[in-house]
Amino acid sequence: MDISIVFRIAAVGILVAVLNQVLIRAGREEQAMMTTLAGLVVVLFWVIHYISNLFDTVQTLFQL
Amino acid sequence: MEFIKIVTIGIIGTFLALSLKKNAPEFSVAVIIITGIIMVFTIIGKLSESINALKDIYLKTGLDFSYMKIVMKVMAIAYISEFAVQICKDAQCGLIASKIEIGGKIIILSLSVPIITELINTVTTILS
Repeated sequence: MDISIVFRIAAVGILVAVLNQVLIRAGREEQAMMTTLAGLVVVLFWVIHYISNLFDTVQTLFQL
Repeated sequence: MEFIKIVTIGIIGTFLALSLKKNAPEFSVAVIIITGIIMVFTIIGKLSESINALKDIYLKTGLDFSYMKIVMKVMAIAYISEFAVQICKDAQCGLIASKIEIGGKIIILSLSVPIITELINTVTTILS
């Protein structure tokens, strides 16, 4: 399995954190909240994809 | 060799998670989950070999195969609930972790009821 997904998620996290700070300083708290949520949704899609892979692997592994 | 890969992935994951902890806590949990999953994928091959060996040994004993299936299911449930419990504990959600644990135990208990009744039956037939 490639480890690039870990770096991708960390990059999205850092990007969203920086964007959050910039937007808060610019006085737009709502947009800051929205960008955090958007980043979170994207990351959740990747995580759920990997979790479903894990469950399929465990199922085939234990021959269920 | 596999083990070294796991150790490096784990260390990289912890560093990334800690760096994200302060200003983006949700993403640190995501990084922790993904590093856990990738570490499992790198080592899962070895586990499947040993499970097949166990199955062959079990088939030699000539016992009914359904018991082995229940044992396999219990092992799978135990592993997945352990995985989820550790993630929740890591994210400081102890309550959710204990609920998952209780759910896993209940399912394992419900799976093992037929084996227990079978055992009681054999014991009573031997004694009577």
